[in-house]
Amino acid sequence: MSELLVFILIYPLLFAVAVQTRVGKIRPYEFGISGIITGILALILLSITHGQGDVIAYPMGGWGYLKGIVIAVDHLSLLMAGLIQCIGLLTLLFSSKQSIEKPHIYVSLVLLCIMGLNGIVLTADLFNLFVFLELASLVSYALVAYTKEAEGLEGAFKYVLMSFGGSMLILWATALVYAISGSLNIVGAAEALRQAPHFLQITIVAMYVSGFSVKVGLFPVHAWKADAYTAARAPVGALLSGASSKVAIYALFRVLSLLFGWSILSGMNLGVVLATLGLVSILIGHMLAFGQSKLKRLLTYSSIAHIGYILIGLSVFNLLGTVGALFHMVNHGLLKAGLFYFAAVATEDDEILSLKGLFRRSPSLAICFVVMALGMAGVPPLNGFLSKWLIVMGAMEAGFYLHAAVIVIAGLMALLYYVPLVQLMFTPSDETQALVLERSQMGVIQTVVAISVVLFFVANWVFPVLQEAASNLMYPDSYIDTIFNLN
Amino acid sequence: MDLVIYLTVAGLFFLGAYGLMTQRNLIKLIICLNVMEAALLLFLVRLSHRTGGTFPIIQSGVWLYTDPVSQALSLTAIVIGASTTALLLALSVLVYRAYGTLDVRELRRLRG
Repeated sequence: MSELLVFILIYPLLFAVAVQTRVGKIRPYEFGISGIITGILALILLSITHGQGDVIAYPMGGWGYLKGIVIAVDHLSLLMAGLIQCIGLLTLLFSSKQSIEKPHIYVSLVLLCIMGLNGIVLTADLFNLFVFLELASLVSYALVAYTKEAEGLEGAFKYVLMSFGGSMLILWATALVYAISGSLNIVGAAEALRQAPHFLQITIVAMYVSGFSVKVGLFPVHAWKADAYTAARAPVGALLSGASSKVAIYALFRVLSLLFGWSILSGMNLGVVLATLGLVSILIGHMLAFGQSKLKRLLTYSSIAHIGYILIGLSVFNLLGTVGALFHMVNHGLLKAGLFYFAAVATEDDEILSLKGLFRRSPSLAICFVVMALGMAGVPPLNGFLSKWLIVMGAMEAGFYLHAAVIVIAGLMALLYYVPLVQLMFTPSDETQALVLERSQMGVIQTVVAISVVLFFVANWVFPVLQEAASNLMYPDSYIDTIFNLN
Repeated sequence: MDLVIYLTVAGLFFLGAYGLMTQRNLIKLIICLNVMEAALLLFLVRLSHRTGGTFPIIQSGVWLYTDPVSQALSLTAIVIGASTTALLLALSVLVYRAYGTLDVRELRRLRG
């Protein structure tokens, strides 16, 4: 069944090209949506047949891991792939009623972005990872600038300038890995790298960390994120902050943990460095979110903060923290996407003040917002609470007490900037005309809300899956063995 | 000799990065990105070099070839760089139409 992997990798490309042909006047959204549903079905099929071994690997062209390119999937990659397809599906469903100009091109771009992200999570080859990362980034630039309005162009330009610098660092690190080990396979390169001189190891780690943190949008290099996500259309913002930034974090940790193993990394105090970066991102993100007048900009700053939670959870490196971080990736991805969709339909010109009196105009939309905001702030009984709680427990267990305390306090900070929004919605305003939404858009937002409530109550079934994924990240032995056995 | 090449690579890369931080003209910024990329291409091509090696096509009686992998990598990197540059140039044309200037300091409608 490992050929299915190839299908999951390239199906968005097939559909993206097919949309452009317009044979028989294809309706782009319906076509794209059915494409992603195909992908989700393939993923489900793969995870059912997965049962036997932990890891499925497929050598492209039958060349083995030394000469060829290997794509491989374990529980962690499956989880990420599922998240990508879900957010892609919701985004296309939502944008279908957004009256976007030239929908054929838009759908193609979204599908290509999904293909890039799929490639990042599926590949076991470092240069391939770089190429897919660039594919996803290039498409994101185009999506940000899609409206061709001044703001979009400005946001996209700043995005490219920062992001391309990050890519170059990643490329340099990849070239160094190849120079040292003579292999581009993550597993094949590992052994030579672990015996390399210490300063080279540190250089490579520093390049990967700084390159990927540009892509993720961590604190010192977060400036592009606010501009790009604010300028982009809301569904694009949902796709980028829901899926792209999560995948970049995944790529950073997957590459580092497979290349060096955690014992060398903790010898460099990398956990402390990354957790501290996460801590600063949390504080800066939440502080900048105060006093914003644009809803999407507020959401983006909160997104920077939440990336910080995930980073802390992953860098304390114990099971609790990792499970929490992976859970938070899913929760934050869905909830932030939902909030971006909300911003698209509920506000006029993205102004927060236009939310005034929303409860009178559309009660169900206002209630959806309240639930999503509470979920983001981490209030029980919602999924955001569980994942934050796990990250806090993980940080305590590893002795990061300051970080744990900041996470708890940051939840209160988040409440402080969401509460005025809710107050505003319940304030009566002059405009009392009911806000009627397209059924599919309302459906997407309600789905997100429903998932976030349900995830809290079915956590008992979710945790084993997350635990498998977390142990794949922490103890990648089966991943390594499977790839070695290909030859 | 190696040292000279590696120093050139690092020097070019940081020259590009320095320009990225100090230049104000959009076109010059794009050139800076290309300088950074060119540095890495030089590094990749250097990696493929084997003293006395011949071109990487298998022939009888020849045992030393230059490394085809890193040459392929540099080709792919050139393609990626070219497409990003094309996108950036297109963006800068549109930016010029929208803002009437190529000065990056004037791009400040997004604030907050």
